[in-house]
Amino acid sequence: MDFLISGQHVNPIYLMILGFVVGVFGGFFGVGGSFIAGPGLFAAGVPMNFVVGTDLAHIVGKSIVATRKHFIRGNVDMKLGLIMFSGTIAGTEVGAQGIEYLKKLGQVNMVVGIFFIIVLLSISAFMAWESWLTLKRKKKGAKPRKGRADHSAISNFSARIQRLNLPPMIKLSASGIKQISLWVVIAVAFVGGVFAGFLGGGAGYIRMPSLVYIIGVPTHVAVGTDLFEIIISASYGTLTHAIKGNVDILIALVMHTGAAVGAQIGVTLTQYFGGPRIRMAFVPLPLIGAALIVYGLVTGTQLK
Amino acid sequence: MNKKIKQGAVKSFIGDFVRKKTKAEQLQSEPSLKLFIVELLIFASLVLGYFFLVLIFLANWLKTLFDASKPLYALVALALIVTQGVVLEVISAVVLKVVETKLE
Repeated sequence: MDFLISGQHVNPIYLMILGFVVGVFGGFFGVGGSFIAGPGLFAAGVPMNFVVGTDLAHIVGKSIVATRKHFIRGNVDMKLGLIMFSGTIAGTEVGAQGIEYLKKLGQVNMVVGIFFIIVLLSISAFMAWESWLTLKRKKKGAKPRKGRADHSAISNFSARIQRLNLPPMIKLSASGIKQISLWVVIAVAFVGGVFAGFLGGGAGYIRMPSLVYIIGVPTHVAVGTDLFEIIISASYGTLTHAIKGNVDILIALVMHTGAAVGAQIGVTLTQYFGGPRIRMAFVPLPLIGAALIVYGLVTGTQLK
Repeated sequence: MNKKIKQGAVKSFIGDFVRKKTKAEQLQSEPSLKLFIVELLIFASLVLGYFFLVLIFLANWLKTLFDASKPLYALVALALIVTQGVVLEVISAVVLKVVETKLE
């Protein structure tokens, strides 16, 4: 099928299957799935600037679906999501401007591709290490900190962050956080926004771990809140990238049809798994994404 | 009278669609595996039909809009993906309700 805006010929069934897989992951892990969707589009021959913009557009629709399901399960901290809004928007615009700069230099594929690989490998390694440590401690009978309904091997780090006295301090009851600096929340949102604007997708692969390990949000609430935040960052990212000519909305619509089906399965599965196991299951996914980008960059051929 | 019953059913459906549920309500409202699979199959078929009957025909119109005005294209693009997201979600909820009614 010809996608006239990006000037590419891509099999729509491939896009629907890609969207389906991303939808399952998005519903289960609370991430937009751009660590698979982005590399998947790039491997299909879509130029990287269109990958970034189109992926942002596709996850808007998908995240609305998944967020609603998490919302009715009480997994969305709306106050946290709305506070993160300003940081997310600012960061997304910074990221989008980065893409425009690289387009002018004609280096967008290589630079974004390499950056993507580094980020994906780092996230995979870190989550593998943390999840393995946490499961090991759980087996030895370690209990979670008081008031938290989740295990984490590095929960002391988020506790120290919460004790940082940088007013104004806010309370996040839905996440069980008695107090945390507003600036920490905005900084996490800003960094997530930069990744969203620069690498595409909702940057849930940065935001979800940040919510858990830095802010100290329980994993199930981090999943739902991250999805809510993705709606905001991806909507803004879609607008700014579309104005810059980086969005092929038809590709996004086709991918989303598959994602809408996959998200239902993904969300239903979260009720059967605990926090550390969800995080451990997440580990291979960024590696698959990194492999797809390496394939696209090294061979220059396309998966069709 | 029928109109009032239908309006009541729609209001109740919308309320159920967006209202937070307690753990007990979640457990009660979770469909059985059989219902979930049936709903998923019907929904997937509807989505495929939507692709072949609607999406395929949008290419030229979107390209024209893209070339004519990027800001307008941006707004239309966002509106399309949001609308598709909401509509597909509503359709899946409706299909589940219908399947539940017919099979239980």
